[in-house]
Amino acid sequence: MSLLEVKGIDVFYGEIQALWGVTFSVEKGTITSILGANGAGKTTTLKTISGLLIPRRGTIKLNGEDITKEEPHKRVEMGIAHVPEGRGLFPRLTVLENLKAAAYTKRAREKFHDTLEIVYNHFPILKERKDQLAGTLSGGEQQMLAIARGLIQRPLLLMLDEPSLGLAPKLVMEVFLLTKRLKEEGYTILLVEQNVYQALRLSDMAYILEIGRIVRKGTGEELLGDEAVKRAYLGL
Amino acid sequence: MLIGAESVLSALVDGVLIGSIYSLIAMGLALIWGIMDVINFAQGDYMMLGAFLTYWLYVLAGIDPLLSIPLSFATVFVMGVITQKAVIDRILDAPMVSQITATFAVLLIIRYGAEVVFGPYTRRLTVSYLSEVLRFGPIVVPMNRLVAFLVSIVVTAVLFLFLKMTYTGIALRAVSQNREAAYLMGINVSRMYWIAFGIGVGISAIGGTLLATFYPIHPEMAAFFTLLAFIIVVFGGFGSVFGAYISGIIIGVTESVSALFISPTLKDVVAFLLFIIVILVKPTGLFGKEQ
Repeated sequence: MSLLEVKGIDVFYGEIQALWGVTFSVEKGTITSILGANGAGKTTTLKTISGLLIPRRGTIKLNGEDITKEEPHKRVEMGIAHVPEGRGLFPRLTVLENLKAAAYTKRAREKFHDTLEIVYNHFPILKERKDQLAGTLSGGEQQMLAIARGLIQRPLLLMLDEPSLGLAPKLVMEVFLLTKRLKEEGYTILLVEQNVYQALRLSDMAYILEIGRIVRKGTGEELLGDEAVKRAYLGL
Repeated sequence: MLIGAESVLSALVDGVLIGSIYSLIAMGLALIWGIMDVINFAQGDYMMLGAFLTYWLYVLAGIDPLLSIPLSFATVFVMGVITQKAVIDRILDAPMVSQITATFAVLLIIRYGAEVVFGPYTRRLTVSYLSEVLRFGPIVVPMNRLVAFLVSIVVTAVLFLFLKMTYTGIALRAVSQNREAAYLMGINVSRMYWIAFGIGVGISAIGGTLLATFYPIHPEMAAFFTLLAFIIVVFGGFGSVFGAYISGIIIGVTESVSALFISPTLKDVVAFLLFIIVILVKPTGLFGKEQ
């Protein structure tokens, strides 16, 4: 059984349809990517999985359990962490308070102190800056804090929405390396990226989204070799 | 006529003491405003409920006003939660005019409901030990106001620690800063709303309880205090709870000092003038964050 199963979801903003029968699954312990251009519906897909949007048709299952209509906070309690595009930090809370805000669920709070140690090991800079307001961190540090909050939630599924967006090239590489390291530690990751080449290199499975529809799927390697993907996204 | 240093000092002290009660009402308003983005026009009417509760508990059951503080908070907290679930919850994403109309309707229901139940009478609560007067050298301090001031400090400190130290407090602040991200952190946002509304009006009720020990109690007593709470919240910076506490005291002092130097009838005018000046110079309020 897949950890996450998304089946035929249609999602609307008002009367405007954004997703058309989107179907995919995420296997435990893998990195799965949803790739595509701006406006293809990648963020919409993640928002539907985390419950900020409710699909008009279709189902979403976590570990076989139907969560299509579940409230967002209950989904977090069940193990879905969504690190949103633009990071979604609380700028006037300190770094530590941001992490505590992510430990609001029972699931996360019980293990908060252990998880905090793990998170500080990953991101020593956050320990140094724990009493600093999140809004005063640099872009790279803010992205680390956003991912750190995701880890604090003790997720079964960690969803990263454009983690490389707006970062300097060196930091972009760091984020991708981190994603890979997290997988090695046993996390299951659903990655949304515009940076198609880098994402495909570390994906076990990838889906290409175009104006609300999945148009291609395959392993990272397969899609790296796919002529259409090369032409459209890799500039080759 | 020359005004002596003692009277100035007394006016200052008096302003701080009364201002601290304004602060309680305003902090509740700021909390609700900051977290839910709703302007609660009924804020002062929950204060009035606290005042009446204290009055009747004393008159009917002989309960000391100070002991009625937790009861006052708890009762009005529950009423706030009911209001939130029955009314506010439905208008959270409504246009501002609808929100204003809805909380104004709540105001009318509470205010004139109280008038029907309690009658249009002014009542006074006199407790002997609270009516005593303390003298510190030349400064005269009424016991009831001093007690009110001390209680307001305790309440503010507890509120501050709650918002700063507890998971729920941090979650409340998180909701006020980024609602969508709060959902994604697993925070039960609708729960935060009723907690915020309950605490917000509950604190206001504590203000009412304290006020009842020296101020005439009447179903329509709220109007002036709600207006004042608005200025204080805007003055202190929209939604800033700490800013509301400080600016409540500033407004209290402004009033008492201008009553002394200018005229008691013009004291509110001076407070409003100060408010207008601050808003002209710093539109985000004294402790407001830049937008």
